[in-house]
Amino acid sequence: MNNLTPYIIRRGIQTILTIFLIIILNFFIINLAPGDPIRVIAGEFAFSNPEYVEALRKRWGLDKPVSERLFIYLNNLLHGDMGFSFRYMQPVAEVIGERILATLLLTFTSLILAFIIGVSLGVYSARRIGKPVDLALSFTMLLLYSMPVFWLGILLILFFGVHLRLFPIAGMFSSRVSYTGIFLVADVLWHMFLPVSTLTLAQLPIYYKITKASVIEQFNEDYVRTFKAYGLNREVIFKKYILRNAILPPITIFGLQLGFVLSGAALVEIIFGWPGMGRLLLDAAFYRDYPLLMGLYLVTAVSVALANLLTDLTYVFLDPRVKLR
Amino acid sequence: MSIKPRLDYKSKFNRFIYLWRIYSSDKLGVAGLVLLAGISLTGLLAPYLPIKNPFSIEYPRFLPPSIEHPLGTDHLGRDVFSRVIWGSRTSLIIGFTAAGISALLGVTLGSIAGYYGGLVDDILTRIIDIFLMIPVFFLILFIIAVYGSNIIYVMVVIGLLTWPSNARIMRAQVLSIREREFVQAAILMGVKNSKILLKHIIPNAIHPVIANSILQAAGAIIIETGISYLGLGDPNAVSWGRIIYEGQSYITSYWWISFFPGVAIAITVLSLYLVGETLSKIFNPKSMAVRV
Amino acid sequence: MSLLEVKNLSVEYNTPSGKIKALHNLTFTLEKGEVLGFLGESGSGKSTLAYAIMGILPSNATITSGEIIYDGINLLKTSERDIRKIRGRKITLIPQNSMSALSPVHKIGDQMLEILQTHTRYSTKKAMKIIYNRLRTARLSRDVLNKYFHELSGGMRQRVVIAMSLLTNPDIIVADEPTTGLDVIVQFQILKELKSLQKKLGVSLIFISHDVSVIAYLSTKVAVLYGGYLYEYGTSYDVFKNSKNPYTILLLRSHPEIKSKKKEITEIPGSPPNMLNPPSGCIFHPRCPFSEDICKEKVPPLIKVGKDHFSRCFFINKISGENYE
Repeated sequence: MNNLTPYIIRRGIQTILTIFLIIILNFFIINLAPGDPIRVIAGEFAFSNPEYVEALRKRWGLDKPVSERLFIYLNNLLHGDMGFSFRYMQPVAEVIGERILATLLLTFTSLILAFIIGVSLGVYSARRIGKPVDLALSFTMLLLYSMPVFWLGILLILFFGVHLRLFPIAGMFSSRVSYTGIFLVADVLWHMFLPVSTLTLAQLPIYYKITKASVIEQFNEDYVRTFKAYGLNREVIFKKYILRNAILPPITIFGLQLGFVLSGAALVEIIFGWPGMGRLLLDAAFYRDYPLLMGLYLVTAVSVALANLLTDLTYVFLDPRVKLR
Repeated sequence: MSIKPRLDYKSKFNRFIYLWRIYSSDKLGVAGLVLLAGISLTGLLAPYLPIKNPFSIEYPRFLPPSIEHPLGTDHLGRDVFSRVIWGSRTSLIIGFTAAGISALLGVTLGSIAGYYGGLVDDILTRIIDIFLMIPVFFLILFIIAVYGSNIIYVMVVIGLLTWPSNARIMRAQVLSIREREFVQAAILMGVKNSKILLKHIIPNAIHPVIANSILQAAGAIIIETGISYLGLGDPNAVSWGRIIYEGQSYITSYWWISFFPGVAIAITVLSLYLVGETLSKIFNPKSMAVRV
Repeated sequence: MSLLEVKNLSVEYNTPSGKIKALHNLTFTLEKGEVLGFLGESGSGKSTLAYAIMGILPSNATITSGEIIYDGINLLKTSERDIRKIRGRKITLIPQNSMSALSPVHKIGDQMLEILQTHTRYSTKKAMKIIYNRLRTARLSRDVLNKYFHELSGGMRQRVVIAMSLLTNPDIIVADEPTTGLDVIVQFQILKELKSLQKKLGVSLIFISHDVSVIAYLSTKVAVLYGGYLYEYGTSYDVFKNSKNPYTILLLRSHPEIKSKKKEITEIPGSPPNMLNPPSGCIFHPRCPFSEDICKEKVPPLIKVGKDHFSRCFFINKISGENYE
């Protein structure tokens, strides 16, 4: 495909530009907000000791005008410095880095599970449309789709954690014992079960719906009729041709969801006390921790932009009808 | 089901009847509409209904559901049932206002982009793409933390962040309708652009946006309840999310406080989804009606 | 014994709005080397006929009576296993011109290979040789095998589909409006090639179209369908030069021809019948200039008007003596 390389380059540049724009946008939104972070840091000295406040301001570079701060920030970014968190007294990169894995553990697992289960059920339903199984599944999915994710989490905690005492209801590790090796893995998995289930159940319905609609659409396509006329085995037609055509929309959705892999689990993390980025966000907002906030937004924006890029590129390989504009 | 309603019926009333006949063939859609109407009515009439005062703390605390208190009482001795009823007002107002703002912005900008095309269109499309990458929930959290938890902020911000999906739909519609003969005729006759847009294009193009707005109202409710659940909502408003938040600590012994508001959210959102999806099926024959 | 004999074939559709009788007691034969053209407007049942022969009627269609006898075997009473040796192999389909007559996400070559390998045990090497040969017959270059269906022009798509229909050396090819929707010039090219192909290979063709000139060009025998009934049946000469049926005549009169001396085209009055609530008696009676009371009450039988020439009308005697170009 001789059009491919220029396309990749073009999309790559677009992505970088978009990220750049978002960084600047974020910077302005955050830094132009009311509320003086220095006063928060200064704490009890905020009003009694103005020199201290000024010194702090200088130290954090907040005495300079906004535009100058923007350039300093951008310059630092290019050197891999995302700033220093007021609240955690650590480089932002470190703060985020400590927690990013925990979040990804939750989101990637649930994303993949939701995709596999949702798509499978969608296909299953599409082949049995109108039958009781289909109706029951559709209804269940509709209910799941309507439930707020945090309420779902609470219900799961109530039932499995408290009532059945089957799974822990908070944290990523058991606090009283310290495991290593395979026991550590098992411990984490055990703690992961409820939050991942919540997230998976919340994301299932959309894959189910899209897949089911897509498969049904394929049933009515001309090529199905052509192949039947040529005596191809129904299973072959279904597995090899219909599925391959029908899988495109769910993959689009997957790509879209992929972008939110860092931000989508915030509520669930908070409910289950999961040490991920969700808690960070809440804290950062409350304590006006500008550097941390900017870091979080930056990381989120980058992941969304990258996910979009990845999805577009994958689509080029999956769907030969895509035109490389 | 992929019937496209004939949009050139003479009387608006006829159009409505025709639409209703198609809509009513979808039983789920009708169920959703009934549900939605019921919830809306309840919310609207809440002050006049024979239910207890949702703010009154005079009742015994932590009462389980009973005839006197159908959904029990909470940690402050307030009747959960009436709080849930009053909560519907909050959610519906937020849902429809946010969706309304989003629709207004989306229709306006989308029509302009689609009608005038060229540079205006290019710029707007870029802006839309960027907006679609913004994590709405995050941004709202931040704005509330900084500017305070006022219900108006929540509504307005949701509206300001979600208009792109409506704009996209509107733009696509306008692009196709613009080429139709009656529009081309109007242009040739020298009718002013703004008049063409307002009188001819928008009324014909707006239907999918209506369907999308209903789905967006559901989304707004979900976002708002999420924010209230984190304790960041308006403490003066009766919000389902907040009730769940307040009842969380007691969930092991007094489960009803957090349980029922969740059911209310689910039912409300469900009814909006049913209506929105049925409308989507009518107006976009090939759409898979994804909530954005 | 004829190659294909269809006797009293009746097909009914069950739709939400009611039952539709798409074919009424259709009877005809197809001999070896013959081209039988089915001429009819939309809704006349011609596609239904094609699907019935190929065994790909939709699930809401029922064959309420009749037999389809190929080489002495009634296809409607054969087991799935035996049908597979005939359908798509001895009787193949050229489907209507469409962008999705083949799977859009699979390469054309792979799909052709699939068809061959469904019916034969040839090695890939041998199969490819056959495919190359058919491509040549259909005037296609081998590049086409690596392309996707949507990348081809309308004419090329139809050539691919024609090549496909020849893969298994069928005895009968059912062509369902194969040139509808193509440019006139391309249409003529394809028809010309189809005609010479048919003569060369001696394959029997059932050709379905609403276009009079196309049917006239290709067919040796013609069957005129209206409202699911056979209205006239005979050789090409019989039907076009010596028609004994009001519908056929009106149809021919409404058809513009460059060479003819006619000065006017007259359209058939009225509109095609509503198949949910068709006219009583002779379905054509509301639009027929010869209709009388009996036409409203009874369905006219097929009457033999010449050697192998049949017409469905009560008033054939009124028509003799009126010849049209």
